[in-house]
Amino acid sequence: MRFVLLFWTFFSALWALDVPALTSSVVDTAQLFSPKERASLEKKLSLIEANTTNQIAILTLESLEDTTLETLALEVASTWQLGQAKKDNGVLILIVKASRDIRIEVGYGLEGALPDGRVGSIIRHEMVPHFKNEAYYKGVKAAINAIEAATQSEYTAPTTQEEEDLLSFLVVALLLVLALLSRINKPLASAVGALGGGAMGLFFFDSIVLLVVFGLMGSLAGVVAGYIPLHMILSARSGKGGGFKGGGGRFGGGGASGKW
Amino acid sequence: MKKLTLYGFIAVVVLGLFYGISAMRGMQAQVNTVEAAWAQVENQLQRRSDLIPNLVETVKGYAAHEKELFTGVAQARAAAGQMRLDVANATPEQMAGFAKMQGQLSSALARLLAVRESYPQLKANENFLKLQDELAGTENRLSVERKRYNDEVRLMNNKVTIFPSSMVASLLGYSKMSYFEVEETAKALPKVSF
Repeated sequence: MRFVLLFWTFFSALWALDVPALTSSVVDTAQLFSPKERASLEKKLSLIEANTTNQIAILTLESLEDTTLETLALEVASTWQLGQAKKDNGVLILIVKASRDIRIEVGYGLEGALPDGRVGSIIRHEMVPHFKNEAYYKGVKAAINAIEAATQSEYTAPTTQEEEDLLSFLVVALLLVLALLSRINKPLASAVGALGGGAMGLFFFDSIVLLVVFGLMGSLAGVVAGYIPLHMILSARSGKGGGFKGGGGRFGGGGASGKW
Repeated sequence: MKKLTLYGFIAVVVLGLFYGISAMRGMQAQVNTVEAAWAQVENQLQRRSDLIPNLVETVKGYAAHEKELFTGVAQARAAAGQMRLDVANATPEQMAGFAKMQGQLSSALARLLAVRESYPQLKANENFLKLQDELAGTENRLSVERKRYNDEVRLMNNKVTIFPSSMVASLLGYSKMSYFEVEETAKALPKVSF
């Protein structure tokens, strides 16, 4: 699964060349904030995420180049996958310096708390007046406060473990069983591997082709697993890395745009 | 030797059957996906239609005598609302007719919004600005869902036309589905600027 994910990440990165990397919740390419202001925004955003699981990120750009504001905002928000999977509670604040464009892109799950009209008035009343005085930090901070106030009641449930982890857990568990069985009886381990692998291919991907492929891989694994040290299999399940990461939220073009 | 040929034959038939079942399931799943994507498109069209009465009322408050604009929007809305489409069996012509109706509504709405330039008080009205945001947001969502729908249709049409799944498709009667394409003018018009 990790292997598949790795490939997927690689190819989606290739496809979306013009989307900046999500290195932090504040990606300040246009350098509108001082380091201190940036740190303060990051702190505020991580506090919101801890309290509500809502994920807000800020991207500032020098110019739009050859795309449109709405297209770019959706592409960035979808690539970054802001918000938690299933809750889709992400928000992207995109600021383009040269064309003086603002867009707030709202994930599916927050469209109820943040209808386009409300987002539009946040841009008009909280951001634009400050932006006209080049007080970008003040404007963004006011917008974040307004978004926080609007979305506070929406989600309070704690995050649950993602479901896709189930597959990687099962793969490791199967490998472990095979490794033990294979030390005792190789043909039996091979048969168990074929059955287990085939079942995973069918149930997780709903594909008969993958049933056959996974079954063959499982049967091979049954023979080979006996030679793999157990601790190596156990250590294959590693935890999450650090840094700011999207949680798998989806976007459908909700939100509003404005100019200053 | 004869036995070996028989086993080989059985193996080929079983593999072919596996492939056929897998291709069939894939195609039916794709038809369902396309229909789900279309339902999202219809949701946004409905959402847009629901916004119109409020928007018209607000504009009327400032520009009551622009009567032909209001009737134009009302007629386009009624015509677009009456059209229903069975997306699984829609021909490209039916789809084009549907898109044309929706495009006419887009143009009528754009003309309605354009009156704000003649009425500064309307342009400054917070309620009007909010409705304008909602409308712009809905048009944006609509274009997102339209793109997603067309992407899914393309996947389906690939399955139907590209060998070897095309064989299974013609055997089971799956055919190409229709893209939802909007005329360039209709797409460009509702763009709202401040």
